[in-house]
Amino acid sequence: MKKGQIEIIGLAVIIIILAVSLIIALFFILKPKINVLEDQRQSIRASSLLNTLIETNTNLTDKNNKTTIKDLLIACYPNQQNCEKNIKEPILNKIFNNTEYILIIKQDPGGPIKIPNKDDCQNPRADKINTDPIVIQATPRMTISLTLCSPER
Amino acid sequence: MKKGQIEYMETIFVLLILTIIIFIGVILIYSFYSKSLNEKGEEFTDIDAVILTSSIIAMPEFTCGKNTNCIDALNIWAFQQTIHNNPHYKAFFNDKDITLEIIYPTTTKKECTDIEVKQEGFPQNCNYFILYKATTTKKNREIIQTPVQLYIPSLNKRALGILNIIVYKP
Repeated sequence: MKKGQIEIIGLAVIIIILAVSLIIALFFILKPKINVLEDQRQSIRASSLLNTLIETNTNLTDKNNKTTIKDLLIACYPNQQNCEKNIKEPILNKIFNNTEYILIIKQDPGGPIKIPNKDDCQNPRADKINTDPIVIQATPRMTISLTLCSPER
Repeated sequence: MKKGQIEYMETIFVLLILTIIIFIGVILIYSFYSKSLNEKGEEFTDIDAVILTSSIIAMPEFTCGKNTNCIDALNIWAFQQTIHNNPHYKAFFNDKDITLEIIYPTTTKKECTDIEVKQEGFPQNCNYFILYKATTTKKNREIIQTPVQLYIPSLNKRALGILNIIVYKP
């Protein structure tokens, strides 16, 4: 082999080493990071909100009025009477509009009710975190749960 | 130029290019290392704030006692009377602002101070408590929010609140 050929092979080896190093570096730079801690924190926050919500009193002025949001939900949903007027419009829409949460109320029989009234997260590529449903009434069975639409990562 | 001189120059060029490549490599490694250290630092600050949130809710100074995730409004008021220049709390809360905001039922947008808490209209007359205010000049900050239950013992009622922890970072 001539000296010139050996030098060209040497140059090619160096270029290959550099290209491989660059590919490995790019792999680590562009690798998407999964923040497990943030997901867990959001999940705890959503569950905490749900548990707190159902025990919240609806009136802070009248001492004798001990109605909670849970009571209103139970009273409202079996027949769907005055739901809009009593709980959706004055309470739940106020709390959940303009938030990244979707409150889902499931009743048996009947389809789920979502507040705000949207089928899914506004951003279809958003990560969704669902809380475990809380049973607020055994018969007829009624559960509530929260879906959190996190911004896409 | 003689052949020996050309080969000598070639060797010098090869060494120069190798040195530049190694130098760029070292800079890249250092920047990645420093970036990952900053990310770890932020992660630990977040963990610290999450632990602090749970600690505040469980602290005898604030808790309702019976329920988890519940803060007693009267305890906050009592705490506000004792916090001034207390070195224990200064060391515990460090560079953090801690506030509790009433989200529902909606109340008047005003701070709940000693005066508001003692008034008959409480808690309708105010909507947030300042639990601790940091004395820091740091500008970089992050807010960590946790929903909590605010128990009002005078009415034996519960409101929905948000515990805001503002962490100041260097």
